[in-house]
Amino acid sequence: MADKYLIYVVCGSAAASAALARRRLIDEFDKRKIKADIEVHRILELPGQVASRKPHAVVMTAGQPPASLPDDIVIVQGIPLMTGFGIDALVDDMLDKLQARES
Amino acid sequence: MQFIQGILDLGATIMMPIVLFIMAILFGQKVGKSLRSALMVGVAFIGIFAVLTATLGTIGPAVQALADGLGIETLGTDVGWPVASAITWSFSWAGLIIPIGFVVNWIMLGLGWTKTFDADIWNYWHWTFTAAMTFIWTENIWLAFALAIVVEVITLKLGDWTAPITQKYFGIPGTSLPHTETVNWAPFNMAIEKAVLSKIPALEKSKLDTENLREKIGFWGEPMMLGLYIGVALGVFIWLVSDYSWKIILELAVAIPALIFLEGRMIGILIDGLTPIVDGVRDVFSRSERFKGREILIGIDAGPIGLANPASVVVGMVGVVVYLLLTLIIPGYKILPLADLAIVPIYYMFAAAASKGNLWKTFINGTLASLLLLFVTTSFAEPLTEAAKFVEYGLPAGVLLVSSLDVGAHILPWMIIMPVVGIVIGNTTMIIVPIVIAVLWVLAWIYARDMPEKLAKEMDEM
Repeated sequence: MADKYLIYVVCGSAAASAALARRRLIDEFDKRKIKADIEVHRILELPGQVASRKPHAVVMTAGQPPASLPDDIVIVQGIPLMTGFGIDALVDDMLDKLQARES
Repeated sequence: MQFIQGILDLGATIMMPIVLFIMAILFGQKVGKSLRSALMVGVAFIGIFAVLTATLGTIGPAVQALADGLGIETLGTDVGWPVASAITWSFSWAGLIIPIGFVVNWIMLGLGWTKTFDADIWNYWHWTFTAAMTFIWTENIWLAFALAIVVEVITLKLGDWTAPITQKYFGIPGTSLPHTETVNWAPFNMAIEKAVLSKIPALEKSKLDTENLREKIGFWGEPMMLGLYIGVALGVFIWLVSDYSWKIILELAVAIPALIFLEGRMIGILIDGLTPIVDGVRDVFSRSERFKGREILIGIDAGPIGLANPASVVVGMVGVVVYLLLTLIIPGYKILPLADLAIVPIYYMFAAAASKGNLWKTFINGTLASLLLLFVTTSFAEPLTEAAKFVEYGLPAGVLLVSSLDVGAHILPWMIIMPVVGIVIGNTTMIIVPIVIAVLWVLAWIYARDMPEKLAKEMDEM
């Protein structure tokens, strides 16, 4: 397992709902005692951001991931972070995928 | 009583944290977490108003100088939705809208009047806004709450109605978008598509690759960069038509990006603080057995959905120029679009949904709606400016009028507030236009009522 995961929460804007999604994800990681840096980025800036600092996972709260992302990044659909329902399952799924990538 | 009044008089930065702390506790959150969140909300309020003061002092007078130079009587400033929402949350009773909105939603679900559970508590501010505008004109708090509830009920119905196509087109299963300022354009957008645009075969031909364009827009299209272009363009105009020196170009080139970027960050802080209440409300809902086994749509924020939609983003960038030109050309538009130009794509999102992403149709349909949006932006400017004064946010000297495009996008509240307020305060001239628009809006909804289902089916067959 990586010491600390880098996770991008990707949103149309980087304002209201993105902050909410990030806060929820941070709480969930804290609860599981897993270290992660969680950052919010706008979907338009994602390719550039990934090129400069490659994350372990990308959580899409809205829209489709850009086609140009590298294959080894875990991509998850993050609608539960917007609705507030099913966040547990989303994080479990993401961690499973992250661990599968590493082994 | 005097003590409570004393607290209320201290203003939003102190009153809101106290109200939210109490609400977080009532919704079952821990004391420490509630305290931290409540404090963060106070900090965010200070930030929002500090940023506005720091930037509007440059921007406001410059915009007025532009107006003088062009021979326009008054031109107010679009200060952006973060400020508009902060002003509405600053009323002493504003926090009450959260429990009221929640209870109204709960009752509607219980009666089977809606399928939407609106988890997007943040955007309950649309109803707070409705109440704030009503209150400023009538000073009647009960009427203010009543109209806020009417707007909420209709917005939830709009969310239900559009859900088939928003789920399919935006790729958000299990949700709806009860987001007043965007979904309230759906009746017009759907009706225009059904009555006119779908009957013009030539329009079907647009085959631009929006995904590719979106990636190209990338960095150059981010809100701060957009602020730079607008600042420079505006600065050059002002330099040419007024007594300002060339330095105004550089001043605006920093001030406008600062307004757009920093207010966006401030809202992030505010939301961080509101999260425990949002999650508390959600927990209360999810513990209820009453709604188990029924189809429930979770209402979410449409903003990030629209700003992630390629057609809306690409057309919205063109829309920025259209908004500026329309304001300068058409007399009667008295607010220069600025801060909210960063979110113009969301005003095109239901036009995009109605056409399933056809760029020409999205542009035509959305721009038609925008003609009305700019009118409403002006119409709400005076009460919003009054509201800013009422909550004792001092506007910098030389700033006479403020509004925001986002406020102007609230056409549903406008159609309801104006006639009622007009009757209450005995001003019949403000009644006529909103009633005509309201009649057209209702007819459009009835005429296009089959559209969201039909469009979703067409997408299935594609």
